Amino acid sequence: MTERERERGDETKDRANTADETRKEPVRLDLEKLDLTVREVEDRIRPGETNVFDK
Amino acid sequence: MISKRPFKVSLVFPPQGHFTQPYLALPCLAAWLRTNGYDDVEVIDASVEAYDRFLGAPYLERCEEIVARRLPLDEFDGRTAIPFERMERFRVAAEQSLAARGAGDRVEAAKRVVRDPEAFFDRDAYMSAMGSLYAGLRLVSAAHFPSVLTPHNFTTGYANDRSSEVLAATLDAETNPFVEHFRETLLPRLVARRPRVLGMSIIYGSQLIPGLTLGRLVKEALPDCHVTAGGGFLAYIGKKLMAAPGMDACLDSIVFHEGEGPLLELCRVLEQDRDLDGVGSLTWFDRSGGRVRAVENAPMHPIKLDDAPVPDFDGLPFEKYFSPRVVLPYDINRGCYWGACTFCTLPTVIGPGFRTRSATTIVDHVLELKERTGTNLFNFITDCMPPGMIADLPNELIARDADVRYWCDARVEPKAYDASGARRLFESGCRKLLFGFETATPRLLKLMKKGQSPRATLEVAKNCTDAGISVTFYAMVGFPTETAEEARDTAQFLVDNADVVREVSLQTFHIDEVARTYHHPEEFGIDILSDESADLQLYHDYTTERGMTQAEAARMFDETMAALRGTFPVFMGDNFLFFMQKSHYFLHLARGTTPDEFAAACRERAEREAAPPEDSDLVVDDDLRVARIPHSYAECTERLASPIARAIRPDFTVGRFVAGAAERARAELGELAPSECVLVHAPGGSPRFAELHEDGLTVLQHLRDAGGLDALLERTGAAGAARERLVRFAHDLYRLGLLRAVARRSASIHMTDRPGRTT
Repeated sequence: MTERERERGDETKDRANTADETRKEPVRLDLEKLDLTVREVEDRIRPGETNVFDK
Repeated sequence: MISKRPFKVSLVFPPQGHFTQPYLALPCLAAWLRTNGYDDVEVIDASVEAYDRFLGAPYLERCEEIVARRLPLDEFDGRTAIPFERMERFRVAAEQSLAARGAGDRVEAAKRVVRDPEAFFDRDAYMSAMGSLYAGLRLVSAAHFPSVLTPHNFTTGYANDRSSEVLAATLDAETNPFVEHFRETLLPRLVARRPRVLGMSIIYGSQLIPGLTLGRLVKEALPDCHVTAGGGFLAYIGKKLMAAPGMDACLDSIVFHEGEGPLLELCRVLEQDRDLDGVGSLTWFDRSGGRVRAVENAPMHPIKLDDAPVPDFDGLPFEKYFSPRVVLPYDINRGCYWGACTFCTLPTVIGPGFRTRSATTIVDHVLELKERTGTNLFNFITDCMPPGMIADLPNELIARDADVRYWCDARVEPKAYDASGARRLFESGCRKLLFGFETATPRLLKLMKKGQSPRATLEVAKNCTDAGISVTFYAMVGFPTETAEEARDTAQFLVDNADVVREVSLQTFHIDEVARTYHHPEEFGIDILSDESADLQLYHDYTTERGMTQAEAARMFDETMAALRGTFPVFMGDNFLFFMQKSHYFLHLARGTTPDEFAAACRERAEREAAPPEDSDLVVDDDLRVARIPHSYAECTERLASPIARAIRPDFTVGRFVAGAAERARAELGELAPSECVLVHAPGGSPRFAELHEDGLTVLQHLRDAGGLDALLERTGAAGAARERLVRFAHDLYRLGLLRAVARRSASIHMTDRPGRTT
């Protein structure tokens, strides 16, 4: 594990601990105003990928 | 008695072909040579060898390093718009900034799944594995940008229809992965072996550049080795290839049409140091007199098919194919007894005439292959089984208790595929048949000279389906004069019969130089366009007096495919991967799963993937990765998926080259403006990417911190519409594999503060 990864691991642990401590605290989120768009890009099927005759 | 000779022959199938099962040509040639006294023949599937090496941890780790160096995401600073020419680069850089890390380990695990006789049939494990393999190939491609390697294709930034570019590609180690691959792996083996002949089977356009790359390396390292090549694709362009300046650096000769006779004669001539002009069907470079010229010999008669020995698969690495069991190809006949379809070019590829083996010989060979290899799974190679054979072969297989499972192509023959005929086929082991349906428009069927009606085709399909055989239809969009309304009627016909037809192999129509549509365009109301600067041109654009234009047909392909993906269970969501991997769906059928059971399982899986189970909580994937990117990935990908963008670099399995496509794409698709976006990806959960706004990332972090959706709902106290929005957001992320429906536990998000840097 690199130094950076170790730091990242510690950071993750810290975050987890913090999460445990704060899990029960209320969260203020103005859900009406937040932009929760999820843009997904469906991989379009190319004609070459559906050609089961030639390949 | 035929004497054994110390004459070494190496037969190579160059990349790229599909990686799930071996191809047939080289085992046929090896068997013919060995039967005729050339024992020292080795057969190498260089394609599956390349896939196996590329999809391995050491290679992918190297690719990760190359991508970090060659395609850093932070070269896109977000201050200026991205012109069309750089959009692909941005897309790949953005994807790999999240996906590359750890790809090697995931791919190693994936290979174990697809090769395992039990894990392969666990659909969830299989889908995850295939997703990892595709992701691995995207990383390989990124490391050789702009080349793209998929299980179905290999394209480069070089135009395949210009010999100068094709030859340049064979020297470009930066974007052609096979230069390094051959140098490190295959070439040292060949140099150690010192074959007298290297014979390459080039049946697809995707093999051209890799094949010529190998030819060049071998000719440099082994000047005494005669490098020849044959195969379907070279039957199309071989003559042009041999006329191209500089091609003699990669090849010594080309064999046209089937290779048994010419290759044997070539070996004899070289062994006896005779002139090449006596080898039938060979075009070769005469280097005498200080200049190089191509000499075209007279054609040789093809062999009598019943004399051809059992294909010899010895030496092929069965364990390297990406399947738990190998499905062996076997040719029951060559050519087509119908031979009239106006779009078809098979006589060019295979050679004129139709020849078949007897049912007795076929079953003799099948049983011998079963004994030799231990597999009872076959892909019978036939362009169309003649009506007599449709009865004779099943009867022979049943009478001799062959106990095999097989799939093959078929032509609609209503009398042969009646209810009892179909049942007999099933009883003999047939589990899947693929028919050339083409279109539901009788007018077009007549123009195609198919000699069949949609009603007869459907009747045949129903008989097969009722017998338990899975039916696939080949369908075509954009045959000259087809209108959009007719194409939509065909799509509707397929949708209406989704309980009879399990799969559709959909193609766009294209014109190549050997089809009747090219030679008699007036019969089809079209004008052929040519590009004089493309000396290897095979496919042509055309204008049409009526019906859809080529561009409209390309869009209609997307529309039809969308309709099919919404209806056919095996096309829904990632189930499509079953269809795309040659023989993988068949392996389920061969194991005893019925087409109905398979369809039901696909539908259930698609529904489960679309929405989480009602009684579950949703948690953030353990390996969720996030990057802030300076342009919209979704917008970029949408533009690159447009037909005109795709036409810039067409592939030889589709074949449509569009004159001026790059200029038109630049004009029509414009630039990508700066836009702060968040790209999200969970490589262990799904191969897909999603784009969020900063708000979405904030909520995602809260989801992670809370430990799951239920806890966050409780802590926000959200109710009514607000609650619905949050739940919908979470469900969207679930559908994309970013959240999982599992027991609650904390997860880490690897955040990126700057483009391209995960922290």
